[in-house]
Amino acid sequence: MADVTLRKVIKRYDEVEAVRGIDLDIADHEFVVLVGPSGCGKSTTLRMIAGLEDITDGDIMIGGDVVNDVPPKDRDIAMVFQNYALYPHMTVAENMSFGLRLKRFPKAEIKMRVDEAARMLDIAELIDRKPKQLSGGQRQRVAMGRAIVRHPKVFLFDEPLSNLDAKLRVQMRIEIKKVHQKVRTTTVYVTHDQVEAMTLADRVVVMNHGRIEQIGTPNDLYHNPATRFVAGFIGSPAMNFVPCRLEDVAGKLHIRLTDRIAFPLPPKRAARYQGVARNEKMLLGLRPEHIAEAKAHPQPGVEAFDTVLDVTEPMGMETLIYFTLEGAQICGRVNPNAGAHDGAPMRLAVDLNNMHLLNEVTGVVL
Amino acid sequence: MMRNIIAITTLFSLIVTFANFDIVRILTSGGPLDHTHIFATWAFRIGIEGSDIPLGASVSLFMVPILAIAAIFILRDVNKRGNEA
Amino acid sequence: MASTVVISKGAPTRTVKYGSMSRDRIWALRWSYFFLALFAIFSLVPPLYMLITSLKSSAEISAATNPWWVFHPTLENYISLLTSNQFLRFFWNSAWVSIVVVTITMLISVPAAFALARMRFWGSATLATGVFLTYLIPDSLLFIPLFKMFAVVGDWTGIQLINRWYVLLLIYPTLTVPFCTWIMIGYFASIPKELDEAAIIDGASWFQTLTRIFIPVALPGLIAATIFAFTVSWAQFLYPLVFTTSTDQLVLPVGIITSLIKGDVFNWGQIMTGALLGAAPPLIIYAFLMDYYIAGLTAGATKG
Repeated sequence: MADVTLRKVIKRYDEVEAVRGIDLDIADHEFVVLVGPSGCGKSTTLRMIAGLEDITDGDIMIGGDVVNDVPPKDRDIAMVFQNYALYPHMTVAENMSFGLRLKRFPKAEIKMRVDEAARMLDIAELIDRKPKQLSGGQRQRVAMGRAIVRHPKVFLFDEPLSNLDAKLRVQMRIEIKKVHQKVRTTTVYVTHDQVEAMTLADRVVVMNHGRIEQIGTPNDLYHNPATRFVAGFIGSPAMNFVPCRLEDVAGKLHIRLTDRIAFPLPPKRAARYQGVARNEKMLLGLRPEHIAEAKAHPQPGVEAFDTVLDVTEPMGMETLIYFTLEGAQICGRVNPNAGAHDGAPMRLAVDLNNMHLLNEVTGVVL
Repeated sequence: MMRNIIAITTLFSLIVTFANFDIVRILTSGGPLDHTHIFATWAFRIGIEGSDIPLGASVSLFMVPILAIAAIFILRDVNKRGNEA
Repeated sequence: MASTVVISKGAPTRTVKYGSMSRDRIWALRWSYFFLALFAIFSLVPPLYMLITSLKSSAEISAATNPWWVFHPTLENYISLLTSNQFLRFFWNSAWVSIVVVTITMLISVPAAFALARMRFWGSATLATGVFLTYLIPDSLLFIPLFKMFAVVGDWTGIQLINRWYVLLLIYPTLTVPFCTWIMIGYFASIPKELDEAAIIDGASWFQTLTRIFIPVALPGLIAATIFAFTVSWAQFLYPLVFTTSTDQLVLPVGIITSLIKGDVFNWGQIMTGALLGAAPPLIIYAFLMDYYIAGLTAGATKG
């Protein structure tokens, strides 16, 4: 059990800077997910914590001790790999106990720990099988068991679910969460799948181009993204971005989307954007669920407009609609009974209480 | 895909056959009247049996250019295979 | 699971029976069997002839009868060879040299391959290519320089190497180590990187990673390399011919040639018997380890 701290960690491969100065504090027992597109440096960061990669600059601390030059085996960490990395010539039990046997634990202790982990992961009856006799999900459980029996200070997961099919992934996601609830070990988890990040994490670290874009709880990131990258990366379908500009009309702050469409801002939003320059090109960020069919009695701050749909995707509990506004494709979510059809005209409403205004150049959310 | 492997095996058997010793030595020993010598057996006859080590070494050195060319091609193909994998 | 779905969808519309092939493929298969049979006959005739001849007496061999049939089978060649101290000496030398060479080869080439495949150090790639290059240099190019070298070493240090069977222990590894290292590099390289990372995180040292993970996982390759090293040492002819001359120092192939050919007199029955007995150990080893050997040759071809 320990906290993990990264201070200005940099990783440079020859000329390329893969990780460009990361500061991160992970509390004891915390489940932190590093998420980002491929090549954002999240795996490199994890491997540096593991000690599989040297750090070029900065400090990594585990449990308060600087471990920059400590070899992996002395860091008291356990790691689960994307392709499981089970030892093919060993049985499940031997796989799980390998680390303990190397450290010359007493036999009884090893057996106890292996049995405990096997029971927790529901693989007790597979204990004498070889990895190739196991399914993908079972292999993943064994890989987790190998980590659990060590009782390490930190668990490291490197995209552990990306080799599984979609159904199994959802199931294993829940499994991982359950295990963490039981053992409460500090966990750093890397994935490129934002859904995985949102569902598992106490806190999500969104990375891009070797830097941290934003750190926060899943809800925090969803509702208050700090940058366009985070806003677009978190959430599915992704947030819509529409070119817009602010205007003062009769003393009230308006947001203009097209020549025909402009909406007055609700008071709270108007107050927030009071200091923003008028008539400059901005971006309006709106999640699909805040674009819906217009209702007879709208809430304050919900504004209606007419458009023609391009495509509709009925999902059952909702229908996704796509239309074009100022050259940008916009996605909305409407009630399946709202009568949305491909190519049909429709009256829609946007909920400006949940809008985001972004600087078009810097991508910063205002 | 197979081209590389075939090229490597061809060049390789070329080298082995070119530098062969055993079969020629046992079948003919270079005879009759030294008509069937190849580099390896001739070098053996002169260098070891004739005790003229420098001359024997020179005979075997004549293999080097041809072997070197074959080796260059093999290495090129082997490296290519490495890049594909 | 996905594949069964596909089959059940396609099955009703498909009229062709499973397992049937197009005419083209059937003919291709027949031709390949034809040539395979041809090659099998081609390579099996000499051993068969060896066997037939080994069962004949000298009188029958020189008689003008059908050479492909034994009219008076006899074991006299086998008896005389297996009771001959000289022949047993050759056999013993061969076995001893081969076993020691195989051991030396494995002790060198397995760690070398591990280092070249996994520890990225300055020049390791060049070194790996160099290892392969040494394998391309034939023995017939090296025997004279080596002879001179051992003679010089003998002059300087007084250690007599020429005409001693143990000189072969120094020379044979120059043939076996490069190739075995090369095989093992390929093998070790095919082991996923995560496996040694997992081992390192589990607390294994480099040496433990090698002995407890790499060697067991690459066992088929290791066995293939062992068989190769054994075959090379057992069958090598040029080096023992050059470096050993006294009859008590000779290994089997050279021993048979020198002791059973007296001038122009070929003791064909005993030569054939000796060759057959000499071919037996590799044959037995191949037979036992065949599966591993084939697995070793084809490994790395597909991702397992």
